Amino acid sequence: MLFMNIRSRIFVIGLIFLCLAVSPVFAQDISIDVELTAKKVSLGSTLQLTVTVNGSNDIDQIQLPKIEEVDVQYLGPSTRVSIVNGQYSSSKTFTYSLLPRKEGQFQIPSFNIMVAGKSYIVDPLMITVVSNNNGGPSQGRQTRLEDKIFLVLEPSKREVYLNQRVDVKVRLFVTGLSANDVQYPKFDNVGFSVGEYQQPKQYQQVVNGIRYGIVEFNTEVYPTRTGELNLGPARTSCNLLVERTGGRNNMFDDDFFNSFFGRQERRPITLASEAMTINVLPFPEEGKPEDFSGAVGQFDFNVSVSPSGVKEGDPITFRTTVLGKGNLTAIQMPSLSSGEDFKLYDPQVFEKGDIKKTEQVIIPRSEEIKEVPQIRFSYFDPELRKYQTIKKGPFPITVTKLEKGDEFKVIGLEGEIRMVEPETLGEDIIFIKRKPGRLQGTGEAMYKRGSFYGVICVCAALWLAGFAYYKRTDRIRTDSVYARRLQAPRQAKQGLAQARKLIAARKGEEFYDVVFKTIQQYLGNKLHLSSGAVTFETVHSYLSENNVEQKVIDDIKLTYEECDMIRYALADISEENMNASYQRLAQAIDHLERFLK
Amino acid sequence: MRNLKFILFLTMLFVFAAEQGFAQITEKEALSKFVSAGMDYKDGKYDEAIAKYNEIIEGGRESGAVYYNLGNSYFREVDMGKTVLNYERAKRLIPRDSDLNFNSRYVSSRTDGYSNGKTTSFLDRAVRSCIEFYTIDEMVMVILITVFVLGVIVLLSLYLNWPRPLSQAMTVFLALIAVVYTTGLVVKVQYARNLAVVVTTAESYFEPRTDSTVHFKLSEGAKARVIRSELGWVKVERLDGKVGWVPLDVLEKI
Repeated sequence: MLFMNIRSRIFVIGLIFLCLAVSPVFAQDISIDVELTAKKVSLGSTLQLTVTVNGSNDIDQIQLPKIEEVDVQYLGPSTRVSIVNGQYSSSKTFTYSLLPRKEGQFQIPSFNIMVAGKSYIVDPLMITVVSNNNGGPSQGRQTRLEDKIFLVLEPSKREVYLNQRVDVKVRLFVTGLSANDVQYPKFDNVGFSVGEYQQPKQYQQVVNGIRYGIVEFNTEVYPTRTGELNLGPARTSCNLLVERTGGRNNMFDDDFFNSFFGRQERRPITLASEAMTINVLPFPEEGKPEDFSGAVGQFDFNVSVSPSGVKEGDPITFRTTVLGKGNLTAIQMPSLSSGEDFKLYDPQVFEKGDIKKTEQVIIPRSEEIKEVPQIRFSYFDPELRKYQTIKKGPFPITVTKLEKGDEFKVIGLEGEIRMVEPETLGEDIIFIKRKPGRLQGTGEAMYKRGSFYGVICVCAALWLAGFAYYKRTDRIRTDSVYARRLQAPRQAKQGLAQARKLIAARKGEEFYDVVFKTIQQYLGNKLHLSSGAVTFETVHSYLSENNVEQKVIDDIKLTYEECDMIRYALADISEENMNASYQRLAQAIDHLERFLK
Repeated sequence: MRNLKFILFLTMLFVFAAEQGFAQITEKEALSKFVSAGMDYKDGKYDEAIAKYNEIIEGGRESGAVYYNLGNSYFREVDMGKTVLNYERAKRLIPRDSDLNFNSRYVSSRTDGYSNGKTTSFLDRAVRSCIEFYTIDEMVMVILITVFVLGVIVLLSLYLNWPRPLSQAMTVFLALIAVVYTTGLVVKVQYARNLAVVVTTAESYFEPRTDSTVHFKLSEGAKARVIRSELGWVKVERLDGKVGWVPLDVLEKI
């Protein structure tokens, strides 16, 4: 054990620990503990219910029964495992947060828990909910959470005409509680279009002797159909900051530490107002103008035309403005009707706040046009309960004929001016290809072909040959020993060929001159000796040191002697002797060429 | 000399053996199918066009245009995974084709590649755009030509006895080009080797089991790198660096 490495020790200790931990599991008894952090809680605070299963971890979430007037939120499980003196124990605790919604006494009903196939019954528990003494509407009756935080929907009118603007106020009242992250209200509405919300206001107000903190949202709605319509209910959600009741009973369990250590809890809550019925009246048929297009409210209408003097073909900007309170978005702005006098382009529409404007380009078709015709705007005034029509124009204009040369010319578009309208471009993929390109074998690539490697090998071989040739020529040029060695057999071959010819010509003296010269040159080149220094004596020692056969040395000696004898003693020169001398020389050179390196 | 002849014989044998491929459809047949598939595409019979393009590929023939047209056909069938897959395959063969690059970018803009989370450096982007500019064959050819020219210049400088600074400058320049392209080739091969495209939107798990926890999502058409495979499961790395396990049939290698 002492000599085991650290990994082995950890493994053995872990194994022992595992054996100790696992073996008693099956021997544990199962018991259930149910605990409330407090039996008494103030309205607007939460308390926690913990259900602890001792002796088993193999259990999923426990489903609590429905508790009247109490909002239950599951907070999650926690597992505890302990080994003390080899005794293994485990437990799993499920924690629930309970938020009572009303004062009074409530019962958590009895419920069953299934653990390891056995059913365990939990006894009922009682909770007492009292007022939180922070003020509030507890005048002689049981206070509910909804009395402390609620939403009120307040439309400005209950009877309106179709499309008439209705200002709507949605107010969140809070007392004795803290709420944050309040969301903009939404309406369950059919038959209304809802406008944008303005910036919400916050203020306090005393209502029936109770001070409420109020968050006010303002918007407007427009009925889009007639009859008795329900507006709302408006719904919003926010986080309620509630105090957690009970827990550890120690020195830290007071307000000072609670504020530091998070004894407050965020509890999401959804609130709904009551729905409001709004009677939507249809427009009266009496006195309804022909050009009425559904505008409802009180409006002013202005029109301008500029410039009033133009040349033929020049554009004029025709502007209309509707100003006032009403359903501006739904209003169809009056525009010039198409006719022979003007070429009309689609108007551009702008809307901001209580103003709606249009700008339209019109082009007079001839110099005879003297005015832009009258234009009308009709709306229904719900206060006066009758239709109103505002007329503007006609607007005098002066159109002058174009002088020669002033015409606006566009190549290819003679006779008519075409306005370039902005292109609307869609997006799509480019069409398929018509030609397949090179249809090669699947996965085929140049570098996978054998011929590719063949070409590489040939190129490499050529390069190596070129390089080798250069090195050889360079050595011949710079290394005289090497050059003479290379030269020796070539010169010897030439000498032998010449000797052969002299034998055929029966020229004995010349033959031996050539033989002498050949052997002298060959041995001089081969042994890197100057011509004068080549004698049999100098050559003999060198050949002997290089282990040349004695017969070859003797042949060389004999060749020297024959040459000397013919040159100096005029001995008999027969063809047979010449042939024999030739053969000796040729064999000696061949032998030296093969064995003398 | 005898050895040299033997080596030459072996080389020729190797070359001949390497040139022999598996049975393919003829080029004429492939061309006929290609034209027929194009007509089906024009007539809006995209599934028939897909079948014919696939027949060409399964018949052992391929080209950038075949993969491009197949990608277009899958796009019309609203199969984004196969569309991206075939565009990527086409890029191997015709990486500089403007139509292909336009369509590929357009389809990528409609699929979630999950690459936002991982920032790429300028160098990374530059290297990627360079290596995506060439096919593997082109890069090999550039390297070979560079090395060949380098060899010729070395020999010429020796034979013609060029001034040493000139020959050295040319040698270094060409060697640098060869090294850069060789590195690019290695990176390209490494990058392409395990790249795959998600053909079916799926969830990736922490472990290769369907009852394990879901780690992240892989959308159809997204690219992912295959790390290893194991019993019908593949360990993948999404482009933002997240690693998880997905069933084998979710991905298809490029």
